[in-house]
Amino acid sequence: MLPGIKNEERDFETVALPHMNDLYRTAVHLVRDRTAAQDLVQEAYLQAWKAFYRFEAGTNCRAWMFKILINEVRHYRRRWFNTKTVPEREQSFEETLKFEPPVPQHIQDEDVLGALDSIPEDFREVVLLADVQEFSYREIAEMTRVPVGTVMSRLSRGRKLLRLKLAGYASLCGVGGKLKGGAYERGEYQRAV
Amino acid sequence: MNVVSISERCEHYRQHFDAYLDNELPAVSRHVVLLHVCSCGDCAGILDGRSRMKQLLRNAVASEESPDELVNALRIRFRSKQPGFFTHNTAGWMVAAAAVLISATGIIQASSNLALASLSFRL
Repeated sequence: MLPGIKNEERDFETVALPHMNDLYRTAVHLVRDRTAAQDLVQEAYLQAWKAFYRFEAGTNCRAWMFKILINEVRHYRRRWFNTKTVPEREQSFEETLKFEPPVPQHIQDEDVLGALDSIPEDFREVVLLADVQEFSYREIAEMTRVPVGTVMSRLSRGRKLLRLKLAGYASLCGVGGKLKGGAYERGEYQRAV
Repeated sequence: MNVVSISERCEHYRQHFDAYLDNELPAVSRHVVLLHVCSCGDCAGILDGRSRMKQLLRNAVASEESPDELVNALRIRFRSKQPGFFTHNTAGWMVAAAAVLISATGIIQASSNLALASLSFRL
């Protein structure tokens, strides 16, 4: 029997489609564009569908789907943007500070997402995969094709930047303060950080 | 002197907080970090803050739902593209194309040899 026809469409839908929400959410924050995210998720699913005969039943389909999505996102960025990756050794001034600001008590989802979207994409990618999708460092390393040490470094720096951005927001509205409407959406966020 | 040494010690533990929260530390190291956090209010606050930030991020991202039309569009596209070796295998197509190319080259070569042979026979 030829490979590729032993796994049926129903099997694919059963194992792959439940991950669509997670893939879409990740894609939205990786490319910061809902329409592009939909296209990327569709393309990732079609690639997975084409290669489904290579997928081993019982292995981690979610990690496999995310690997395909990350690949699609990279193609998209190369096609549409002249992306610059953040040099691993170069740190911004704010990253070198030892002080760790407290995470604000009351903060709106819009502000958290605004802070997430404002950090460099290499950092955002690993933060999303680790904190939101809860993949292990090894799985993230395989998906992003970088060593585990690089994943850890990007994660640490990404989280630190995120904390600083959120603290910047908190200082804008007073620690523990809660304003109507996200500060990020009102355009005050960028001025505060 | 004492303050500096405490700060350095805390800094050492704080370097492992991310791995601790991500369940990437071995059991013994987890225990060591936990022991320190239990005895240090500052580090406990920092660990709690980092843990809360993860939760905030997870909740914020989870508020986004994929649109229904995405699932429907995918189902339509799956049905229009049935799985199979040649439809899903670029390498398979390339091998088939190469085979056709080699056969065509062989036929052309053979026919030109035949033409040359008949020409030399006439001469």
